[in-house]
Amino acid sequence: MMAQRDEIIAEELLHRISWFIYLRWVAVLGVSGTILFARHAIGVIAPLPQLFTVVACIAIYNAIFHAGLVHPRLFKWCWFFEKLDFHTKAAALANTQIVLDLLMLNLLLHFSGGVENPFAFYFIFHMVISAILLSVRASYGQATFASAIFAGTVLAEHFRLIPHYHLNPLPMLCDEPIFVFGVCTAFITTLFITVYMTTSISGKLRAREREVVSLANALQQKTNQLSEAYQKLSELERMKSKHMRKMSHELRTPLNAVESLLAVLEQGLAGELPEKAKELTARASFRVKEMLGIVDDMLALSRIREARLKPIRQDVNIHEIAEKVISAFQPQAELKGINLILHSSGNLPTIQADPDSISELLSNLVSNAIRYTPEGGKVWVRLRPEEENIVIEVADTGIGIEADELENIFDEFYRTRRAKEFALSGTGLGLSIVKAVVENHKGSIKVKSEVGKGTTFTVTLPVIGKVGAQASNLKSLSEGRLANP
Amino acid sequence: MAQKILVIDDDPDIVESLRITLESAGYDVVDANNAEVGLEKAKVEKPALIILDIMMPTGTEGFHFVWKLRSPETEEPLRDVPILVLTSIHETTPLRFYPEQHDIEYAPGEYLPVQEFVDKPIDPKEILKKVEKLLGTGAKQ
Repeated sequence: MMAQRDEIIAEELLHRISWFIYLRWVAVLGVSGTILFARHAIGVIAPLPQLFTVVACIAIYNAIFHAGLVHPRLFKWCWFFEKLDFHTKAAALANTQIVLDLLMLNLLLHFSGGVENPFAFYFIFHMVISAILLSVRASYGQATFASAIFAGTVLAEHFRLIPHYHLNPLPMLCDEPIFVFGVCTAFITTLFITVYMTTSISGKLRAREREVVSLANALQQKTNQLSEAYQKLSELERMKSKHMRKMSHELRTPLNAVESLLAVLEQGLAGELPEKAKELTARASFRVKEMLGIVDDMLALSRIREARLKPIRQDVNIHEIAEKVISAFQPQAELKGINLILHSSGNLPTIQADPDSISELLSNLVSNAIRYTPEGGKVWVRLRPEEENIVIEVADTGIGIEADELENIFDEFYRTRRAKEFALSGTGLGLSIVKAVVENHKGSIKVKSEVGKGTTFTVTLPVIGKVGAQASNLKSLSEGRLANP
Repeated sequence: MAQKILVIDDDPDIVESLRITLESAGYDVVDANNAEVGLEKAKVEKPALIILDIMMPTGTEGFHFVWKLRSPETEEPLRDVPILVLTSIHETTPLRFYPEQHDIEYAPGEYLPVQEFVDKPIDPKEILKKVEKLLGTGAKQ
């Protein structure tokens, strides 16, 4: 992690150095332009050969640096340089460039009036750049160096130790001691104050930068961890489902055998049974059927969950499936005197779905409705289109669900208190199956219930493949995905 | 003469339940516990109906039995004998099977050429009703 953070900071540094090099090309052009402009437009006389020699030097060393940046292989012979680590390399590069620039700037000023040339202000740029590229200590070092060479040159000119290249028509200020002293003082203090101010700011910026990189790394790590955890979870879910399916299958075989034998016994086919024996056989048979119900539901549930990975999509006519389910459950409903009706609006679109799952979904909802509605009640199934969806409503006049249990009804093996009182048998898996099918089809389900009055389940399924299906998916997902108390 | 029914299932308890049920209604019962023996017995005993467990013991033996029986290799009238299939899947699921590597002319997508499906566990009353229906109408759909 540390390496990654340093890498990012190192890259930043490299960018800034290359920016500096490009800036220098601009400066070369700028200086050349200024010199010519001053001579030909304003008529300021300055020694062109010397000035352009300096500009040429700048151009040459900038070309070397530029080449080093773009083709680092050319400089492999600099073995002492290659040995250093990246940060030292970058610092050395930056320091060298700044020192060279300061020297060249100083020379330019010397050949164009020295202390009389207002462009002495340009030293400030290098102070700012030092603060950005270098350490605090090195920045002050550069400030000291700049002060030394400027003051040195100015004073040397003042005391005629070196020639003064005077700029006509400017006044001869280099001989004025107060002026010279004033300029030097102002210059030196400006440089140091500038370094102080900019290093304070850049120090804070760098600290902030490090923080950000740190946070970014931590975030990436967490994201990776999350992604791994999610994958593990998915894998576990898949294994759980597979295990459930295998177990259910293994259980079903002996259960089938037991129930077949009991049925034969119960119906007197292996000899007429005394009354009590018949009763006990019937009770045993009932319990075995209960187990078979649980096993079947578990099989259905794991099959549907595994289907999520390879969804089956066909043209499905929900009305047809609903009709089949209704007629399958009609005898059961009649036994309890329950009125079981199907309301279907005429213009139902065909939807892309897995027909077996849809059948399973409807069967479970209708089966529950019948089971938990007292005799003489009503159950109805309503189908209608709604924008890009189909809405399936299964309503009953049954025992209802208490508000505090609404959030649990889709849990595996969960049966409400009232359900357990009202009907002894029930696997508690029916709604888990319904929920799994709804999720597989990217739909949503809502439940409304009033204790003693009845319950309504509303399933919304998108008609996948039609334009606008995506938008309505999101809409139906946000509109209360699962039961809300 | 009593009609003969061939029961093919690898679970002896299922076979026993079926035997008792069918014999109580006056049928003769012969049994086999795998598809190969089943085919042999079918040729020898020439039953009026075959009751076959489709999932025995793996998913494919039952299927292969049906395709083999219905192939042109099998002589008439055995080839058209009605078959009642015992399944472990819900009856409401429409079943669709495909022949795998066979030189038989059944096109993929055709339903398995059997006459009836019944869910396990065995309900004697239901079995007898279906058997009577198949033998009464005398067969092939």
